Amino acid sequence: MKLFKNFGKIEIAIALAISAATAGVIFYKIQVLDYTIAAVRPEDGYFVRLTMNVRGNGRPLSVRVTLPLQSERQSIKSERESSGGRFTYTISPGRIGQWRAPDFSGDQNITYSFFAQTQARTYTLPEGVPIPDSYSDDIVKHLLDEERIQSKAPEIVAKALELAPAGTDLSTTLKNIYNYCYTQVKFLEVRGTTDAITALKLGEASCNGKNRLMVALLRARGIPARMANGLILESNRKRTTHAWTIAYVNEEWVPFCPTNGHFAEIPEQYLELAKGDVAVFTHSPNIGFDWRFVIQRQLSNEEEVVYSNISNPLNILHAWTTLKDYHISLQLIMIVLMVPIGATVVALCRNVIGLLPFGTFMPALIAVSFRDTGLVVGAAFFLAVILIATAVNVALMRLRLLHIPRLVIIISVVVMSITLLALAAMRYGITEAAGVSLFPMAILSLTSERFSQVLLQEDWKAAGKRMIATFVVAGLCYGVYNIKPLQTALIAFPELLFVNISINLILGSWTGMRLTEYLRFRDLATIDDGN
Amino acid sequence: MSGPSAFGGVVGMNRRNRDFVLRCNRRPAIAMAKDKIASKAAMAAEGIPTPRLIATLHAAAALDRVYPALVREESGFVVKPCHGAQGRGIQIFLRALPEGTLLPFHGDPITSREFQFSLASIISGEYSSGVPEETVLFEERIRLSTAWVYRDLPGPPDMRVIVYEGRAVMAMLRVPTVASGGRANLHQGGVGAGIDLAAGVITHAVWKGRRATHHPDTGEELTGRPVQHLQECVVLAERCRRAVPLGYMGVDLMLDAQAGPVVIEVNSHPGLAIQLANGHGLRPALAQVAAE
Repeated sequence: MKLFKNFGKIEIAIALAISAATAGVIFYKIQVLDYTIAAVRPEDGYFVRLTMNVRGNGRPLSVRVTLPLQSERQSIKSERESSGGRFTYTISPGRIGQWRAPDFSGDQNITYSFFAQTQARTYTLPEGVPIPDSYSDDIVKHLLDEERIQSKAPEIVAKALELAPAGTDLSTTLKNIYNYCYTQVKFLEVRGTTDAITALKLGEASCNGKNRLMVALLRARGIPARMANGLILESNRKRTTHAWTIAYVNEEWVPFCPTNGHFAEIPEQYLELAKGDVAVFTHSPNIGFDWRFVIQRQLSNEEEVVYSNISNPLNILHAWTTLKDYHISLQLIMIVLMVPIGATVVALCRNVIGLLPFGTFMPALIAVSFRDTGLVVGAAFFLAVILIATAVNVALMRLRLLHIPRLVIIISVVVMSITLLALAAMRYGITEAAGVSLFPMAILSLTSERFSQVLLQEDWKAAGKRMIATFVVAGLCYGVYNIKPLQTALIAFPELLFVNISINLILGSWTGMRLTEYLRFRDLATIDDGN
Repeated sequence: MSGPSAFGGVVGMNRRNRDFVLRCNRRPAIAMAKDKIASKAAMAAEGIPTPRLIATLHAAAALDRVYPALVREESGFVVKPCHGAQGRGIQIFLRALPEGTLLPFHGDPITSREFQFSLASIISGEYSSGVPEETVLFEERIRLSTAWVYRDLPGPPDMRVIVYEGRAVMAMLRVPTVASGGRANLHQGGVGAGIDLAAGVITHAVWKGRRATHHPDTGEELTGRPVQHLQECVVLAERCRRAVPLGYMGVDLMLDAQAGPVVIEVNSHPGLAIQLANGHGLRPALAQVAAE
């Protein structure tokens, strides 16, 4: 009983009632409304949304898209399609999606979205093995001369023999041809089609031209090869696809990218949409057609959790995402839902441990900004920016500038330091530094201001202590934000925030000593301690 | 574990806030305590002596209007932000000379232009968080009595009394040191000397969070020393509750050579360090008042 003496009884009762009600709602959702929680196992991947805009003029209209392929290194989930009910949608066995309308006029957006999980692969090539003389029938077609892959053309054959004379083994041939296409054929960032001969003659080509040349050279030396067409997955908007080469080596299809320099390997971000030299998009002539991909890195189950429970009532987040026409990402909603949890971490640190970070909830917000940079890079940047801003601030305080204009100068210094530091870091290959652009300027400026104030009113020791406390608490918040089961549980059951409220009802009624106070008042504890 | 005498009877921050500040101090009373002009007026109405108010200022440009009054203050004056906390923004001046030079208690003389600048930064809220338009107070400077003063102190000592439900429960003298830059605040390096309210003597003292028996600068013995005017101070501190109706408050007093004890300000969230100065926690004394 003594344990509860430092807590408020009424508060505990209310907290328990709220928690019980929340548990009841969750139980009801699972048992009665059949919410699936099987999906609450987080996995990384990319959410890809293709938006195509078509304009028809009253004639039959058809749009064909090569859809992402299922393979051992890429898995496609949660495919969804919407065309406002104005098109018939079918998927052919070769994974070609087709939208058709017998007569269509006007303007319509067709969207197709999916969740892709891909893996990087590296292949080992057999050393010293000769190029095989013959292949099975289904492989032989990958040796043929094509309209834009002219593998029998004399200049291609001559170049191929120059790179790999007769008798050269399989892996050396691959290496020489790849190196030539990677280093000797200059990459041009142009849209449009380049064939193999043009690429060879000009010594420069777009991505598809480089790969047509590589496929042609391989075929000329008797190595079956084909193009792959796809998408590079990175959180971005994209209006370009990417091509690479796949060669048949030792009864295995091995990828090569002479554009970005991947030899016998494929990075995680490569998503294959089409096998062979095939256009990703084909459509009826004389229509208006435009397309773009929007790609976001995220956890699969956030989508899953919301959509798998799509028909259920009480799915507040689904209501929200549809209401907003799905322009707000679940990632953003998740961050918003997480901030109160971070605030609880701050409250525990302050009221139970006795740490005194700057600001009330500053660490919880600082931790949000670490999301794009990672903890180490984020913290290093944070510290660097604050030290720069503080140096300027202390100098400005000597000038006796008035408060608000001085803060504006600090914000300007903060923004300039962020930009320059991020640029410098990216030059040294710290790619996480790119995320620094989203660093909250105001939070950094205010932290620097508080730091400067403590520095001047007390001393560097006191200011340093509070700075360390700020970082420790922000680090804890960051850790909590990254607990994936917690993320998905919150997305599935946002009502868990009521439990967060309950925790703070209890915490707010607790009058026990903070851990640091045991240290501060240790000399007074001689009488009656432990009774 | 949690009886009033657990861990030396120390009151922690959580308990102070919930069981005393939040329970006993109503919002309007807290607002009054944080507003030095309002609390001063309320204390004047109760006949509680406070340093005389010379003038108030809402705009630095109006300094010219106030300046002649400052010049007339022969024993100097004190500048305070109306809503300042923890002594922030307070400046003490020995004189304001008619031609426009001011002599601060600490540091070199400044021009009235520089003075105007520092007033502007007080008014812009530099030292008062959450107050957009601050007011500056000019108060008479306390003529230091020798009764509390130890030899060669770098600044004036003051007394803090914790008053719970109108009853003084704990008190300490805050004695400045060279390390505290003449300020009396304990976290700035002042010595805290706990006073036995019944016996009227200093029983225990701390400096920089650790027990001290002598003043670090003068070497003078602190413990066992009687505190003069203690009863008057306690009576004044307890009366403050009628002026500023806080159930749990810290009253700061100074000793004027002519007027005797005066109340400098009241605090709605008094700090916990007084327990260190006294060498024991507040809880037994608070529990005794609550039981009565």
